[in-house]
Amino acid sequence: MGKYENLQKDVFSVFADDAWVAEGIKTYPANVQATDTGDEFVRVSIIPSGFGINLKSVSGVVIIDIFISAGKGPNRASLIADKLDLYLVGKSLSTQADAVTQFRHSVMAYDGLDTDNKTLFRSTYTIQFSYFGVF
Amino acid sequence: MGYAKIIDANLNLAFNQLKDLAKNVTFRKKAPIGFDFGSAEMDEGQAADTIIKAVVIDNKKTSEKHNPTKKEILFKSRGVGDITMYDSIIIDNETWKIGPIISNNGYIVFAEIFKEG
Repeated sequence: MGKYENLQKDVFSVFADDAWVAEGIKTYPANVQATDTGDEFVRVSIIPSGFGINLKSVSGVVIIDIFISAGKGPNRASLIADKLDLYLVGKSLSTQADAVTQFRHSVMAYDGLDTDNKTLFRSTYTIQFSYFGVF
Repeated sequence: MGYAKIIDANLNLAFNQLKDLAKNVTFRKKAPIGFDFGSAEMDEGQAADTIIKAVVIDNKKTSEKHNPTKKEILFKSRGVGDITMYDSIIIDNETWKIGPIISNNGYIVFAEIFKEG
């Protein structure tokens, strides 16, 4: 497998894990039209847009859009962001041999009402990563 | 007869009056089960086909960078349920993906459908 698929497997492994599933937060990747979201869910997008330390490495950010009910304040979004921190910040994940994804700092932006559904409030959780592959 | 039934009956009449402009097409409905982060696969669920009457209003090439064809299509919304990107419409044995729903007033759907290549 190449670096992009390996990276995706590492990131997705967090959300496939029983511990995350038990959190009960509906989670979808980019390019999926979720049909049963309810009024609280997150959408995960991997942006491997930075160069790595060698040709088999890459860096970037994972952007997680957090959708909650509008009109109830930002607290639920903050709680979800803190849960994401527990699973991601400072973690090293390696689902494949000779490769590891390291997550670093996270930041959060409370964006406002979702443009497609104004009954939802959208926040953006962003975390940096570096994926290291070895020759 | 309630207003909803009157509207539906008149829509049937309108589609019948259009004669061969209103084609029988297959609406292929999928019931997506969800995305599996373990396998990184989307389970689109089983497909169920319904024959509906549809009118193709417009048909054009929309890009010079690749080769999509777009049609604008009108069909009755009754019986098709909630429309998602996993549904498709088969016209003359060609499968078209459903794009943006321009309008859906609960009786009739005006949508864009696409086919690549």
